[in-house]
Amino acid sequence: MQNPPNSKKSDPIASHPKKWIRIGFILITLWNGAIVTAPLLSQAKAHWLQALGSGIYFFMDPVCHQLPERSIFLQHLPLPVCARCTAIYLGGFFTFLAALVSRSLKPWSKSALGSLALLAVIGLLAEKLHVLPDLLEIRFMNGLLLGILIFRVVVEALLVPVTNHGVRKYHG
Amino acid sequence: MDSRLLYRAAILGGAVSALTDAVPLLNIVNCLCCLGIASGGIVAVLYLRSQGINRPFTMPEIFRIGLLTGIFGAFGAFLFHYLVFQMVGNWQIQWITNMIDHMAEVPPMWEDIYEKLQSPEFQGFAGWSILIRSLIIFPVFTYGGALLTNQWLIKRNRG
Repeated sequence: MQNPPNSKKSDPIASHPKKWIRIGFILITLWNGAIVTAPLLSQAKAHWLQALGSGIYFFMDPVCHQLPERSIFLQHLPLPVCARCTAIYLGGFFTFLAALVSRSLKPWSKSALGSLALLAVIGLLAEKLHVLPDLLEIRFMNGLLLGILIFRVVVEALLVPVTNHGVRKYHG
Repeated sequence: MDSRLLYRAAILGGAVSALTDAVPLLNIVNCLCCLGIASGGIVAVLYLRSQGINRPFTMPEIFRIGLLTGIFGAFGAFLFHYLVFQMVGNWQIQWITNMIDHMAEVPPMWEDIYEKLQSPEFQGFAGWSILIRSLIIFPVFTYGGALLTNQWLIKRNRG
């Protein structure tokens, strides 16, 4: 039998939206932690720590090209994802942190999200067409913008649950 | 939601994710925040919409779509990685060593890495490691792709 509209029983996210924001925050923190610690672990003296560091590089291989010239270096080794990806996940960390500490979160309008997306695309195109210099800092800033945009949509999706009968009231 | 339709969408999305992960050159698309793997979730949601499901998907539905697409994608990636390995060998290791070869200045630590990569243990097929890695990574990113697409469709329909 289908639950009536606005019933929270069928949707665990609808009943505890902030709990899912907390889980998201823990996951993104762990992910960012793995990115930063990989080069340090790879240079540790203990073999098992080295193996753990190498494992993080291998684990993150499908998610990024891992080109050293496009990566931030830590202790002479590149991070396991490029500068843009690092910034994207950092943007995700800040977005989840903001969602966690905010008492009230209003969904961003379509025009606000669209403007941010447009800015990110313009930045990306300007970089690829060599209008902007090919700098790590520019890639990082562009990634940060993208990260905030992508993870903001994720946070909103967690705060605006949907039932079989349509979009439910905003929880933030 | 009809299970057959869900499986069809998941297989289609999984194939897209797997191809963008395993096929050389096609995997360049993953340079942008794992877009290739996440596109499996996007394709699955759009396919379901094209089959006449016009309402927004619920969170548990999105979770099922993302998870199934990721699992199919992981097994597909394992298969495609194996096929590519049989055809061109361990191209990723070759690519890294070529890159180090062309570096103007190679730091001492990289020389050690270069030597390690030349050893026979790095020339084989990573097999189970690839499958386990894919089974963790793929569902997370396909779920993300499905979630973002669903949210975008909700925002678009609100006008």
